[in-house]
Amino acid sequence: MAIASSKREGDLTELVRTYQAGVWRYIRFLGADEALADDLTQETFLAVWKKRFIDHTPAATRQYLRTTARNLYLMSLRKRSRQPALDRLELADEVWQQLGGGDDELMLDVLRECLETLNGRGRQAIDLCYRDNCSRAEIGRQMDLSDDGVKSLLRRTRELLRRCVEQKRNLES
Amino acid sequence: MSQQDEMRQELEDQFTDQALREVLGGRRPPDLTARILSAVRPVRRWRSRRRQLALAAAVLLLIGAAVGYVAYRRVEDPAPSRIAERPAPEQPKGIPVRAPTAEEPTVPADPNNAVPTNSSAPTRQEQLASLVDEFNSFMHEKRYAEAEVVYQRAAELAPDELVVRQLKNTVKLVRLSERYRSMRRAEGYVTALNNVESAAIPYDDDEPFRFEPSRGWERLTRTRKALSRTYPVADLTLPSAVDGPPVSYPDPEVWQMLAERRKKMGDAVMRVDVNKRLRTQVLLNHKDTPLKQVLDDLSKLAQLPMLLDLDSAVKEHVAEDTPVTIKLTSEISTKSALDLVLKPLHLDFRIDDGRLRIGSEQDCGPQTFVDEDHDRYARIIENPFLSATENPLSTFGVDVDTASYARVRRCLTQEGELPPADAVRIEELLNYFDYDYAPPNGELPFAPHVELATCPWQPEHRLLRIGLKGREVPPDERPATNLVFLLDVSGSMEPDDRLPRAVRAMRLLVDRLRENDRVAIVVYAGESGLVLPSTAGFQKERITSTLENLHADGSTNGASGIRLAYDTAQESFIKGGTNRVILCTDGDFNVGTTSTGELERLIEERAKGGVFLTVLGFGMGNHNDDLMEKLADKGNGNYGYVDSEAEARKLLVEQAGGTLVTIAKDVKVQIEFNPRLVAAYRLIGYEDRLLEPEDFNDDKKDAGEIGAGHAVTALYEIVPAGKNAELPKVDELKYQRPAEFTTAAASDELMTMKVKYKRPDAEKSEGALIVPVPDSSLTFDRASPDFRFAAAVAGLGLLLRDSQFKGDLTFDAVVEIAGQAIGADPQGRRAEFLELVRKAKTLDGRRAGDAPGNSPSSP
Repeated sequence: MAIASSKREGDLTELVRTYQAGVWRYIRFLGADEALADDLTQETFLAVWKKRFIDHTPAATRQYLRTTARNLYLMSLRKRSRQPALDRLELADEVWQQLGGGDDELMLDVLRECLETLNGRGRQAIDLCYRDNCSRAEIGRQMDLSDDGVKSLLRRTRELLRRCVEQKRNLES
Repeated sequence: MSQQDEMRQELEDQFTDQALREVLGGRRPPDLTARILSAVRPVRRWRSRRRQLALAAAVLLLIGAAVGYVAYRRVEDPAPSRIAERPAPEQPKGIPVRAPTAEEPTVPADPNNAVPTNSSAPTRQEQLASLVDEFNSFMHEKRYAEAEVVYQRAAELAPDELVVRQLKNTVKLVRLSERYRSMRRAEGYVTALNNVESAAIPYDDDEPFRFEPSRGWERLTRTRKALSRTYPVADLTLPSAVDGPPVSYPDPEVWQMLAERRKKMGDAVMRVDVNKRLRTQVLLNHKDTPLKQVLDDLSKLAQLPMLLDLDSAVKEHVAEDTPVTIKLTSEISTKSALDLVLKPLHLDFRIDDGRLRIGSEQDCGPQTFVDEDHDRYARIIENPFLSATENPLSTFGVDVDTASYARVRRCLTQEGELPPADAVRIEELLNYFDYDYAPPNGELPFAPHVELATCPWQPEHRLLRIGLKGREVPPDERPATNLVFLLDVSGSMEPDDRLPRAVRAMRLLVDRLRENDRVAIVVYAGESGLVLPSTAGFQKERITSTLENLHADGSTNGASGIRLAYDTAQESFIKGGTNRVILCTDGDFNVGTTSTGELERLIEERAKGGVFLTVLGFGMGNHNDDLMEKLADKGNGNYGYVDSEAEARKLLVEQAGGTLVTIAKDVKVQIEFNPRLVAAYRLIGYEDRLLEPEDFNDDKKDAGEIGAGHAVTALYEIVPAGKNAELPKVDELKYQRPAEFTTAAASDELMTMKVKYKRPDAEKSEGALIVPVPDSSLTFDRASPDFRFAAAVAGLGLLLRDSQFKGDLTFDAVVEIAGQAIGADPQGRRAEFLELVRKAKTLDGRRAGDAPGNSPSSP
C-alpha cells in the first residue's frame, strides 16, 4: 500500500484506523499521560504521512510507527527539559515486543481467552482490581485477605496470565 | 545489570496492568482518526496552493518579460535616447524602461496633444521622460512602492503612451515577482519547519544508527588514554605507531599480580589433573623388580610423570634398584598401587609442578601432601564405653548432615578405594536413610521414637535406636523463604562435578520456589560480588540465567563471600520466614581469612542474626570436609555432599522442606541410664556433637537444627548390668561413696530420654520432652526392619573405620542383615547400600590379600 497521489488520503485513513490504537497504547506504555499520548499519536501519523511511508508488512509498519512514536516521545521530553531515561525506553521497547509479541491486538484477544479460563480467587481479585477499580485495601476487605496477601495474589495471577498468553501464542505460532 | 532486571520486572508488571485495565476496565484507546485526518488536510491544501501560486508567478514572469522585450525593441529602434540610460536594474526587479525623447513621436501619436518643442515649460514628453527617469531610479534602488506611484503619475499624464504601458507591465511584473518571492520565503520557512519535524525521526529503520555499547566506549577510552600516555607526542618513526596501534603495558606490580594469579590457576588445574590421573585403574604384577622400573611402568599406565628423588629416598636406604614385589589380581587406582609399593619402603609422594615427586615419608609425607592436594578430614576419636554409674548422663546435639555417606559412596564407586577412616561419620551414614518414623501430632515440632533389641555384633549387648521425626510442612503452607546462594567460582571449581553441578543443583531448588520466596546470588573467588540482588521467586528465568552465566576463575576468598552473603540475607530478611545462606564449594579456602578458627568465629557470629546455613560440598581432591562440616555446625546449619545429580535431587527436591523450613533449632538429646539395669553404654557416632551434661539446660550452648521432614537417628550400644563391660578400673574413692539408687531405679526403665529445643525464632528453649524407655528382651531378628537396617548401616561404618568396637562383624554379615531389612525401598537407596557394602568388601579384600609381603596401608 503506497501512500501516493490520489490514493494517499484514503490509504492514510486506513493506516490510522488500523494502527492508531497500538501506537497510543505504546506511547502510554512508554510513560506518557493520556493527553500527551493523543498528541503524539497524531504527530506520529503526520510524520509518517509527510515521509511518504510505504507499508510493506504489518510487522514492519508497527515497528516503524513505534520507532517514530518513541522518537517523538523523546523530543517531547526534551522540549519539557526532562532528561529521558534512554535505557528505560530501550528496555520498554524490548518488553513491549516480548510480551506483546509484535501484535498487541492479538495479545489482548489471547488475554481475553486466558481470562475466560481463569477462575477462583485469582479471578475475583483481578476483577475487583481492574474491572471495579477497587483499592488493594478494599479487595482485602472483600476477600478477607491482608494487604500483602492481596498484593501477592494479584502478582501470582498476573504471572499466571502472562504465562497463559505466552503459551497460547506459542501454540498459535 | 541488577537495576536493569528490576526495571524489566517493573515494565512487565506495567504492561500486564495496562492490558488488564483495557480488557477488563474497558479503557480502550481513543479514536483519533478524525483528528489526525483533519490535521493532515491543511498541510495538504497549503502544499497545493503553494504549487498553484508558484506556477502562476512563473507564467506571469514569462509574459511580462516577453511584453517588456517587445516594447523595448519598439522604443529603441527610431532614434537614440536623449535621456541617459542608467544601468538596468537586475531582473526580475524590473525591466529597464527607456524614457522617450522630446522629439520622438509617441506611438500612436496624437496630433492634438502636440506640444511646441521650444516652450520653456516642460513639455509632456519631457515630464514623461522625467517620470520614467524617476521610475528607473526607484526601481534601481528597489523602492518598488514609490516606483508604482511614479507609474501612476505617468499613467495620468500619458495613459496611452507605449512607455507608460511598459511601466505598467513592469510594475505588475515586479508586484508578482515580489509576491512570488514572499511565497518562496514562506515556503522556505515551511520547509525548515518540516525539516525540524523530520529531525524527530532521525533514524532510517533500514539502516538504524547504533551507538557503540558502553563497554565498547570504555574500551575506546582506555585505548585512547593508553595511546596518549604511551605516546604523548605522535612519533611516526616508532614501528608500532606505523604498523598498528601501540600496546600499552600494565605497571610491573600488575604484571606480578597477573603472573602469580596465572601460576595459582595453573597449579589448581594441574592438581586436579594429577589427582584425576591418580584415580586411573592399573594392574601390576612384579616380583623383585627394581623400584625404578615399577615406577616407570606405573607412570606409563597412568600417563603421569613420576620423579624418584634419590637424595630423599636414600634417607630410607632406598635406591633405584631396590627390589619391589607387587601382585594384583584386579585393577586398583594408581594411588592405591603407589601406596602398596611405597609404604613398605617408608616412601611417599607429593604433587610437585605437575608431576609426582617420590621421596621419603619425611620429605613427601602427609604433612606437606595433605595440606595442599588431598581432601581434608578432621580426626575422629570414637566414643568409648562409659560406666552408667560414673557417667549416667549422655548428652549430644542432633545432626541431620548426610555428607559423609555421599563421600563414602564416591570413594567406593568412583574412586575405587576405601574411604579414609576419618571420612566415615557413622551418624551421617545413619541419617542418610529414611526410616518409617511416625510424624508428630499436635504442635510438637518432632516426635521421639525408641527401639531396643540385641546388638548384632555383640549378642550380649543391647542396641538402642532413638529417633526424632520432624513435622512435615506441605509446600503450600511453608512460610516465605529468603535464600542467598553463595557460590564458590574459584579456579578449583571448574571441573564438571563442581561449579556446573552446583549450578544444576541450584536450578533444582529454584524450581521449588514460590513467588513469595526470594533469592540472591553471591559469588566469591579472588573477590566476592553480588551477581543477583534479592529477587522474587517467580522470576525463575532471571535467577536461572544468572546461574548459567557463572564460570569458575581465580583463587578463593571464602571469608569475604560469606560476609557478603550474610549481609545480603540480612538486608532482605523475612521475619517469620526462613532465612538461609546456601554455600556451594569444594571448601578450598586459600585466600583471605582462611584459618578455620577465624572462619568458624565469623559464621558463629553471623548465625546469631537468625540466618541459617546449608553447606553443599562438591568435588574431590582438595575438598575440605573438615571445614565444611564445622561451618555447617557453627552456622546453625546442615552439610550435604553432592556426588551426583541424584544426590542433588535428594537434597534439594525430595528434602526441600528441610532446607526451606526450619522447625526447631538447638535440639539437644540427653539420656539418663538406669545403673541398676545398665553397666555401660557407648554412643555410636556423634563424636563432634557431644555436649557436657550441664549444656543440656544452657540455652547459650549451640546444637543442631531440624528442618521440616528431617529425621535424626542415633544408636547406643548398651552393656546390660551383670555383663562384663571391660571398663578401665578406677580405684575406690577415699572421701565419698557411690550414689545410691533411687526408687525409680527399681522400675523396669532402662533409661529416660529427654529432648530440648528452641523454636526457630526463639532464644529460650521449650520445656523438655521426656520419654522413659522400658527394658526389653527383644531379639535382633524380631526387631523392626528399619532397626535392623540402621544396625547394618552403623555396622558398615564400624568396618570402614576399622573400629575397635566392631566385634565379630564382617561385610558379609552387614550384607545379610541389610538384605533382610531392605523393605519397600522406593528410591532404591537401600539396594544401593548393599552394593556399596559388597564393593567395600572387594576393596578391603584386595587391600588385605593382594599384596603379600606388604602390610596393608591404613585407609
